[in-house]
Amino acid sequence: MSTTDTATHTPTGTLLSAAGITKAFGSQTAVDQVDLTLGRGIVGVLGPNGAGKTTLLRILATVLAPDRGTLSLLGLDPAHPTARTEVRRRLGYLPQSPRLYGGFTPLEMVDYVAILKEHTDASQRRREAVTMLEAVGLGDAMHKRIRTLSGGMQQRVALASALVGAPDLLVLDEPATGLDPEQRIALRSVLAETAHRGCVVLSTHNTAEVAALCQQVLVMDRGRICWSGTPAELAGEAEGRVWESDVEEPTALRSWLTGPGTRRHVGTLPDGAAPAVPTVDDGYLLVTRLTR
Amino acid sequence: MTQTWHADEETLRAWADGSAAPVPAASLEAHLLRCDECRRRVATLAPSASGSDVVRRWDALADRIDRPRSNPLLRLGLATPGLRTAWLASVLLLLTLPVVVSVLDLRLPVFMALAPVAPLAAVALTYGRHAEPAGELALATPTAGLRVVAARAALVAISAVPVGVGVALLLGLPTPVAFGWLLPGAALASLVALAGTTRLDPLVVAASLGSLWAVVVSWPAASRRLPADVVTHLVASAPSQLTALVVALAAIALTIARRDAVAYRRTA
Amino acid sequence: MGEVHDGWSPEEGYAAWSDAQLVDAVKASDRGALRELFVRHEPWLATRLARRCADRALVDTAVQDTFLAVWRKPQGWRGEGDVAAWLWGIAVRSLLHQLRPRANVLERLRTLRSHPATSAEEEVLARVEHSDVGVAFAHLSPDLQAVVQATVLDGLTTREAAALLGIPSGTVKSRMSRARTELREALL
Repeated sequence: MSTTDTATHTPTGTLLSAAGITKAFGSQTAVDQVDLTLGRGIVGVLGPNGAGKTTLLRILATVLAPDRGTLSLLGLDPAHPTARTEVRRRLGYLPQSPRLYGGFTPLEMVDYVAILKEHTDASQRRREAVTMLEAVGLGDAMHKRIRTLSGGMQQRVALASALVGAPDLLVLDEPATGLDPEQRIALRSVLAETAHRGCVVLSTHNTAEVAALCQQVLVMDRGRICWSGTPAELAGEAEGRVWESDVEEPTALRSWLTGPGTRRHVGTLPDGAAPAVPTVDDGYLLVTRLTR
Repeated sequence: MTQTWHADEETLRAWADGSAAPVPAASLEAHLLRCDECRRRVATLAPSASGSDVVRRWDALADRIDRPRSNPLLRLGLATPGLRTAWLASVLLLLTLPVVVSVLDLRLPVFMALAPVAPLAAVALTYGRHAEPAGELALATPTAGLRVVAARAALVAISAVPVGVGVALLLGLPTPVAFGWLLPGAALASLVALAGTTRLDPLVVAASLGSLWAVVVSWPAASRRLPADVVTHLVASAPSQLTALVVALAAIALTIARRDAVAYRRTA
Repeated sequence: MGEVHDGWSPEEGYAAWSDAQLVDAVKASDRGALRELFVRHEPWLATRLARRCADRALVDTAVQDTFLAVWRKPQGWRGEGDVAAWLWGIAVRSLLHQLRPRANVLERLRTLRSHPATSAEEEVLARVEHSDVGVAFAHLSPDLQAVVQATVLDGLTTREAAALLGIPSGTVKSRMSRARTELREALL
């Protein structure tokens, strides 16, 4: 699916737009002049650690205010308190390290978050919490104390909490942390429902996750968005620019070992070398290297 | 446990529909207690035990199991150890303080010095990083910020204030003393709430304000410059009370005006 | 057992667990383990209770209460004997609890069937039925059979048996001693 596809499917068009978003911590600029326009679907923000993904997502989740720039979430400006509250009613947020209180059970936690999301009807709230927990595969564990659960299960408790209330905008910071490949597929189907209706923005530093989960990719490096497109297009960036050999290559922008003695390179293809089939990984490495 | 025999289908069916004779029935019932194979077969035979029926009855049971045991207000206000500590500490302080004061027959205005610290400590603790069960996730909810903090502080006040006033009156402390701490307490607590909208740590602000108040109120009497009664009456006097009220209202108004800045203390 | 299984798919592996393992898992608040216990034991418990109480709604409530009790107090299981026997103990008392406050206990109770010989073809059980004790038991009057069943087979106390059968405790005691006498005479 291409970017334009996602856009044409959207009756409401743009769900999220940002112009010139900048945020600095002291002298460190975490997010630098970011412009964004997103419609329905799942968007992955890919980038190395420290690229500013978490800061950008916290801004999109209304947890952090940008120093400069304008933001429109679901057609509302979160700089205004009432509009921000309204956005938060339709927002789901999964922080990078959720740090949930271990004395709650998953059911109590999701129910509690539903209280914070202003769900007043107790029995309806409970039904929804149970449904969400079953959707993330925690139906059996919903009465255990959170502190007794594995990291991956705790991550899913936080995910269920983010999903409660059927949000139109879902901001997920590294949602696939602690999930195995099968669970990542399950995550995709959980997110698909929201993506059908609204916008899902997730961050990751794992290209395999992007390929498995997202319809659109934003590559972020040093606070800026340096590339955007579909996962297939990202792989396509490396078309004819990736090859394998068993020696170091002077024309390579990046080289890494793929097996005993075999190296994979991205860069300018030397004469006589056969191009390899590019992956999202190759495209990502090429894109982040080219912008440096 | 190994079984030497299994009931045949006729026997099971007769037992299930109630037509079995007492002796075979009793024997089968004893057998069922230790034979999972025969139990499984009862499950397939019993007229009301079709799959969908079991699912329906399980759903009815699950409905009772999944019912939360505490109400939303308590979950909001007292869920985490940090919040419970805040609540318990202030209630206990207000419960024991009048007792200590009247039992020891203290000359110093100890009650006036310490009672207002209770609401102040409670408000400070509700800002604690460990007070919020959902952590950063809670910040992106519509209730985030002042509403949650206010709800928690109110919960403490609702339970602690009547305790403090009630016990003080019950033990025969003078009425001005029993009520006189309320407005100063509210003023101090509001100042801490206001501190929560700044970069200051509310806990530090609370500790400083609390100590300052305690020293200012008890020092003149402790150093024998003024009799204890005079200090107490001074605090309970109309001008002091009015000042406290003004401070409290101003701090609350400022806090509401700055509600966007209300943040939980985070390391991030 | 309490161990965490991390599969996304909810029903994983419970079928292979023993009843005792399931109860241990319930002690660790494993909802899936309770469900498995429910699926395994609900049918026969309901059927057996229905033989003592004709009101299906009361039986259903009693069964539900049984599993609710298991969920809330699984530590009542001390790891001795059969889980099924422990469950039955809870179930029959749950039924008693349902019956106790109501007036028309007798109407709701189905008296034990007393038509021997109608299903004499049960070969597997023939040994018991045709043993001396079995024959002697079959010859007791329905009243006495009911008392023996409640106290000896269901393991109820005199007072509990009285509540289940809707008769005074004294009557249970006197019927029990009559049954004992008749059995002794038949067997000697």
